[in-house]
Amino acid sequence: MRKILTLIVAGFLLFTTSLLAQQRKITGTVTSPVNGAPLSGVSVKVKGERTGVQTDASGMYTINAKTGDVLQFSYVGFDIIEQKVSTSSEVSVVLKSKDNSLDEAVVTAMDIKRNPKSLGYSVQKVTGEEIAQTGRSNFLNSLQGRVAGLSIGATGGLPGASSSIVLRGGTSFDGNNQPLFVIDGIPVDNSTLSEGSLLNDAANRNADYGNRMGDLDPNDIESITVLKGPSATALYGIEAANGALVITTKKGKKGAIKVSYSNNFRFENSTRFPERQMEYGTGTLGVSSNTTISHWGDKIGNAPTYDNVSNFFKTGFLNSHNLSLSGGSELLSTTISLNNLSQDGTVPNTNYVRRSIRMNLSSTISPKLKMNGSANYIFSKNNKGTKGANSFYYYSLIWPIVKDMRNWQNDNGERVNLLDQDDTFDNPYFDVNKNGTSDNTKRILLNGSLSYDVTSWFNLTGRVGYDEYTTNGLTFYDPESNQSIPNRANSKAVGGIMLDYVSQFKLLNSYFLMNFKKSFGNFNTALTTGLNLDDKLSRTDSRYGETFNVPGLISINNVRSSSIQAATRGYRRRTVGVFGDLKLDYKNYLFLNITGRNDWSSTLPVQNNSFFYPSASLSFVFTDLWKPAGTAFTFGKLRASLAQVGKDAPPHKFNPALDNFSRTGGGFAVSFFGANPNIKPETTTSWEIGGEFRFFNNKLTVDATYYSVRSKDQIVTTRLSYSSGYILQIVNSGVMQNRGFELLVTGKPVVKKDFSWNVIGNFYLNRNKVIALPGGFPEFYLSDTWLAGNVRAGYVPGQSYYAFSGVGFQKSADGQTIIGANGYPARDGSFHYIGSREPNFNLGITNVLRYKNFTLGMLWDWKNGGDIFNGTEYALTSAGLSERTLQRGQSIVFDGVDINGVKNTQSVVLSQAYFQSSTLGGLNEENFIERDINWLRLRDINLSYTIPESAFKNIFIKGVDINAGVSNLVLITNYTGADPDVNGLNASNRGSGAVGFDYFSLPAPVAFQLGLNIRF
Amino acid sequence: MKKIIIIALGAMMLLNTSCKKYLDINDDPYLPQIAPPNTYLPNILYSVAEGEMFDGRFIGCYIQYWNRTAANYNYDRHGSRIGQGSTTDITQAFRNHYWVAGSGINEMIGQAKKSGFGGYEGIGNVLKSFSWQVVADQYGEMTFNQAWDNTRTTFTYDPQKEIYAGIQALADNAITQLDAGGTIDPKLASWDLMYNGDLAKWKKFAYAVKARLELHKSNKASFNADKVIEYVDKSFSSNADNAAVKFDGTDGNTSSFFGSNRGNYGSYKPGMAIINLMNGNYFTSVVDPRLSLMFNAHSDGKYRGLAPGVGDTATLKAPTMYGKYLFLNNASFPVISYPELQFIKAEAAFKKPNKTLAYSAFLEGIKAHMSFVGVSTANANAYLASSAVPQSANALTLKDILSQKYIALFMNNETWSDLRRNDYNPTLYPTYIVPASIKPENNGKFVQRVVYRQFSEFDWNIAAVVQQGADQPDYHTRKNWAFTDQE
Repeated sequence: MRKILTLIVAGFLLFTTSLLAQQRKITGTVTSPVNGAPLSGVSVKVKGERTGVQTDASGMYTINAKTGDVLQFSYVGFDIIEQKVSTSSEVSVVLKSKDNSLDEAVVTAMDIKRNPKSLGYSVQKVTGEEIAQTGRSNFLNSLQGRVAGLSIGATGGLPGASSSIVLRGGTSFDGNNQPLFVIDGIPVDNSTLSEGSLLNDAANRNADYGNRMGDLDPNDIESITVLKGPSATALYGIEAANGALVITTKKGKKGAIKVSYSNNFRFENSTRFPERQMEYGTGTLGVSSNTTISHWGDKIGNAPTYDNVSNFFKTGFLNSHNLSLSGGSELLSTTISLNNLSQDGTVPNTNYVRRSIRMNLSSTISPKLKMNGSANYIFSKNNKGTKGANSFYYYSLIWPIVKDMRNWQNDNGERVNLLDQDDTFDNPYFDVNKNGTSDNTKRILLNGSLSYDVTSWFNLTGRVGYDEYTTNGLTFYDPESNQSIPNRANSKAVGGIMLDYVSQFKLLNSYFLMNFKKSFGNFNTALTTGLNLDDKLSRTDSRYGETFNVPGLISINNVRSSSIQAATRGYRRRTVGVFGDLKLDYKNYLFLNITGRNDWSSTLPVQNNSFFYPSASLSFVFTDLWKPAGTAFTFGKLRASLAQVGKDAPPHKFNPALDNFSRTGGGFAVSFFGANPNIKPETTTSWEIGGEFRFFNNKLTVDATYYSVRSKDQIVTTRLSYSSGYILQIVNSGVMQNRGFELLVTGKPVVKKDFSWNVIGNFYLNRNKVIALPGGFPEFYLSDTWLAGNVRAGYVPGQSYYAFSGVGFQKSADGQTIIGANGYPARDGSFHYIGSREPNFNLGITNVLRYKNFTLGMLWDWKNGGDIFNGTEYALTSAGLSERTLQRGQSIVFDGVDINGVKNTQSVVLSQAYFQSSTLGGLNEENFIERDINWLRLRDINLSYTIPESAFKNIFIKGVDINAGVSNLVLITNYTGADPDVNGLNASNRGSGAVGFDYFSLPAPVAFQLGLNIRF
Repeated sequence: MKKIIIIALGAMMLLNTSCKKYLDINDDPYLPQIAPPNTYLPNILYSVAEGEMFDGRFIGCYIQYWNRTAANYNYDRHGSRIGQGSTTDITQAFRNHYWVAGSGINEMIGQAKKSGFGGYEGIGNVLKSFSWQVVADQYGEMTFNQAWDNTRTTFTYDPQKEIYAGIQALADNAITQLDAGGTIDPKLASWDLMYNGDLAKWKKFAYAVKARLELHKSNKASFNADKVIEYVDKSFSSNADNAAVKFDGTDGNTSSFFGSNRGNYGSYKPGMAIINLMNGNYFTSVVDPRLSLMFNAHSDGKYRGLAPGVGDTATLKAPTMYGKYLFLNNASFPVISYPELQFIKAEAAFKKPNKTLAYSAFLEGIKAHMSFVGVSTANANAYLASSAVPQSANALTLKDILSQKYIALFMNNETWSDLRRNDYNPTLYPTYIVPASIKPENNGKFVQRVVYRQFSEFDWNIAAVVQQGADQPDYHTRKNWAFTDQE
């Protein structure tokens, strides 16, 4: 031990002596690039040292350094210049003006900051300010239209609703297609609770559980970098096969303590509802009656009517407050941010509350050792309504307008029936007042990193992140309610129902990185090698009980004890990854980047659990080689990349566990899944080419990308013939392809001192194609999307995986509808392709106009093409409320031919039976596929005003911004339903999901917001 | 340098081992991957019975044990498909057979072999042979040889004749395995809710399956009545031997599928065909003493049934079936019973012909069922002496045997096999009602088999379905091989 100590001390002495021995005085002048004038106050220091000197009034400096040291020159508004000390004692430099917007470093995979010009793939950045300003509680919803290639699928307009996000169309038939979320270099969870982990095994049709990234307060976001494809995310491995959203949070900067307070008040109104007929009342076959809620009775005539829908929905109100504190010294800087958001929805008794505290610490312990740490605690609470069939929304739409829906309970508090006999449904007021679905989540996000510069060319970085949350959820139905939890008894029949659950999630991620960099002449190289451990644990305990013994007490102790059921479900998953990232550039204009990663995953059988995938990308700034003359064309870059990424299997599926058997005798039963000991990783290969071109002194930037992504050996949970002994199995099968084009145009038509105008256009299109299906099946479908009638998200080879398959009309060889012998259109016998939800293109246009202290921002979102299944209209037609049912009783000759090709001339009556029958054709699903739906939506319009600093002289306020805006104000669409931007299920759905299935999901409200930001 | 390499190699090996350990977590943290063999048995027993009880809602309409309260019910009208698609509701026996029951049996046998326990293989194969018999009679041709091969994605159908031979072999194997005995798991008795680990009774169950199968071939020239009688004699000797699946009935979850807690039979009311056999309508003025024990009376105290396809009406107001006989939350359900075997024997002996033997088995069948239902000996004897029962061996007809069997098998889908085997013959089934509106796609024919399940076969094994012709609209009127005279 003593020996070692002696050695260390000796080594240290030797080191310092040699250091002192070679130091000498270096002098020089720093001048401006604009006019060549000397610059005073420029910081000059030896790189790696903490302190330095400043230039004097004549731009001169003197500093101690040795040959081989690197001098750093920094000055506000200019790039940092580095210059190596040679044998000469004079080092003079000309600074270079900074172009903030274009060459600002972007955060790429593994939190590596890089100059965008060196990237061989497309990335896009969104600032936190843009997002926070829209006032939406779930920041994902603010991203639509702001990034080319990014699509948000909002589940609905209730507080706390989940949103799904897909980049470049998604790669898996059946897996999760959402990108990885990374906060400050550490992956975090964005899952949405799936009802499959609860006792009731429901299909996510009637409830929504919120996507967990909604926990993050938009005020804490500094910026989001969107890494769109495998090329950009290859280093992140498995989890980032669908791209990644890399979030950087606000960090403290050295300097005086800054305090800022901002708030946002948002008034929301549900204004978009499907049209319904108001002529006919309830009844059957034209005879009015009060025994059905179907509207097939006689005309209402002059009976008084009620606007039940308007009466039911109310103005929602959201208020959010954010207080943040930041500042510190070179040694230690910090940010503390407190957020409180509370939202009352447009539906009575729905609300969402989120409180969070976040603290970031950055410390430069020594010039070589840096530390970063953050902790974020989030509490959120959500009272939500039902969705889909049996929801308050459904019944508020079909409630007879001659009845006042508000009459839902009598003076004694007993429920009032609508019909003459006992209702088999709930009055919406009863539903939202007596039943409840709620949850609350407590989450902690921890992140710590340590970075040590061993030498000027070798750095070690360690990073650990921990994400843990617990969700407590409860659903209960009143003893008088007609609601039921899927696969369980009706509440009224058993005297009340409750289902509660505790869902826990833990994610531990650690990284160890070794970074090397070295220059050889004109070549600069950087190498990062690293190790990543990822450990995930999920556990959901749910309990179910029936029959409340004491009225009003919702507790598992208060239910019939024999009805109690309990289950624990969950999974564990671990991966180990080693990776390398080699960057090579020649004269700072030709960049080559090669990465490789090998993953080992616990979800794969041992012989297949190791898989390697490489990527390579090239960026060439040709304008640095051939400098163009003049200002018309100022910058040009070409890029290309090729990458592969693997995906593992869902946990515990290649060798599935048994299931509990809770019926007489107990014990265990085989699970739905058959074993597949040969499962291997799914592979996605992608390439992209693109370029970035700047014109007119960088006033116009055009960035274009073409990409192709092909996934094979898809790990698919396929159903099988039961002859296999099981219902489901994971198999490697199927090939899918996405090809797309992205165009990003940034223009600054006007840049004046008092007035500026910026335009950003994000154009993208994606063409998905199913090349081959598992087991050679002709169709593969997502059974949960089978919401209304026989329409489902069905994958058919040759079509997009956003296709609908359904049972439609029979068609003749030349495409004409076949009319049956009964004179009605004949129904087809089986499922086949009947439409596609894939849009032709999306275009988001942001305009930012600045006049003095006023800023006006507008985001228009245009979606062109893509079909929507209007399941709401389907159900309204059956209920006799669709406006198409106004044709009831009329005679018609259907256009089409008989089976022999002879034109139909038979006149038939559009009877109630016709409208309610898929066989006669009124309820044929093909009638409800609305084709080529376009929308133009003014997602956000926002006006802000910054009170001039001069107004606050001598008081402690440093600045005030006021902003006001409207979300979803304008919607121009050819869709006949309420709003085409809906999801029939929720964000937990896999594969192509249920975006484009309109089935009683409440659309996003129109919201007016007002906010204030004060800086102290 | 050498040292460094050794250290580096050592470190890598250490890392490799710890990495393997780190990743070895693919067992579900909250559920077992495998379990002792005894723990599989309750689910297997339940699934074997549940398939029949679930499908019975629809097959019972074919049999006319019950009919639907709503008019024009598909199954009342001998339909099989719902609407224009190929979907059918008769799905559960098929699903359970291959999945929870079949795969469960395979796993149970595998685990028993690992633990060195005897008995389980025999029990498993008895249940498997029974389950095969049920589904083969529903579907005819099925995947037999390739069954339970989950490396396949497509499956071919085997002829019913081959399946029948396979079932016999399975039952024979089961008998050999049960005879072999071996080390008996001490936990078997308490987990075997059917026979409490009594292997002799399981052997009788195997013979019961064999007897059923052999009788099903009654239309063939090769029909061997002696074999049937032999199997019956080796089978159940009293109701105590019945292959009955038990239900605790303490809550919805542990209740019988027939019980009110499960709520599956609320829309079905007793069929006119069975009621008329028992209420003195057919056997003029002889009221069956079982009637009031098996069915609820109308408000006027009388017993009537629903005709198929007609539906319940405000004036008829047919009573519920809940609360009586097997429609109890905790009633055990015999999948094969001693009375059934006596009627099997009676029919075989009748066809042999040995009328004396047939008559004694016939009487024993009635008596045994009377006792099963809980009829007093005095009342049973009074019935046996009545005009409803032939009073001598010579007076016995096939109609008598089948009518009594029809009553005794109330709620068991096996009666559908009897009806099909006898071509729904109105002389043999005098109270059976031809539905006024047989489904148009039947072209006037009665239902003979079940269409394959949509989720399993139409969606994921369509080639075999098409080859079988099961995509044809009248497929369900095609006769099963077993019930024809084809060899």
